[in-house]
Amino acid sequence: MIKAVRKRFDIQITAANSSVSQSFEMEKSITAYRGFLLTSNMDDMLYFRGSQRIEISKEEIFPEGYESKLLMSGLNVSPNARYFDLENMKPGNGQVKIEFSDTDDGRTAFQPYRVSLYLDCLMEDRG
Amino acid sequence: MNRAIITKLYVTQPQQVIVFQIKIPRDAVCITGIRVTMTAGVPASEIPTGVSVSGSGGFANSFSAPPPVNPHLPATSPQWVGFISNIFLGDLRLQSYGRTNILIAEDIYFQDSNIGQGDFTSTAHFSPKDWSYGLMNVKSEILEEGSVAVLKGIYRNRVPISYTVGIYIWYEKNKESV
Repeated sequence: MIKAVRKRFDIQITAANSSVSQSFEMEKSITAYRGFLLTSNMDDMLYFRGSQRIEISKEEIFPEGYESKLLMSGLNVSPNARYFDLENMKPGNGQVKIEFSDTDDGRTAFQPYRVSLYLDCLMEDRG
Repeated sequence: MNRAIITKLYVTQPQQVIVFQIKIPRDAVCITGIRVTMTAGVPASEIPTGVSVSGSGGFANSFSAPPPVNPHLPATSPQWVGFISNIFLGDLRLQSYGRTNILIAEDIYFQDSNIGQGDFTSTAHFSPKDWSYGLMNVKSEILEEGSVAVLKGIYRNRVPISYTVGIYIWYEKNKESV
């Protein structure tokens, strides 16, 4: 039986104008990625300062410099419509890599913030 | 499967006109969407020699001052009634050599200063912002044949401020090359 699950991974941005690179390993039972979403505990930081490169199973999905605001959704978006469509992408080796860059654009004063990645996945339920 | 290519235009001079080309990858079947964004400031490495711009944090920008307020409105008008003119930065045109010709012609603004206008949910503790009420940043749907290898573009700056324009082009990748 196939069921939908949503995975969350966090990275911490502790210094202004810095880059953070992190890889996450997905379970073997994941069969497809349906969507991708970015949120933060400080939305203004992510909106004005964030950009990232994202690689899924060694394939570049979002190139370097892709602004985080293009992967965020506001409160008025239906919860089911908030994810960027990954078109049931196959998980491959199960690795998800993010290279996040914080860049000051003059509109916000830096404070440490958390970036959360959500992946909408399909999982094989062996239970 | 859709993929994106990003082109950044660095605006550093008043009345600057940037003429550019965007190369579309060979494995593109068609262009499916385009979105344009604006970021304040320009990386220091992109500032031409002899051009002076102010700023901090390794970036040059002149956006530290608050946007101008409409002088015809009282300064104390509540957010849901008051109106602030959006700052117009410039206009962008993208053109293909294919049948579609002009793909996109768009005005670029600093930000939506009136996102809370007419919204009575605004309180002293919560006011609508771009990231709280903005719709998901979906691309404009465009369909351009994959035979087009290059897009040509022109951007005209209208303000004496430095900033970066980001052009995101989504294309459908040939499934055989995935």
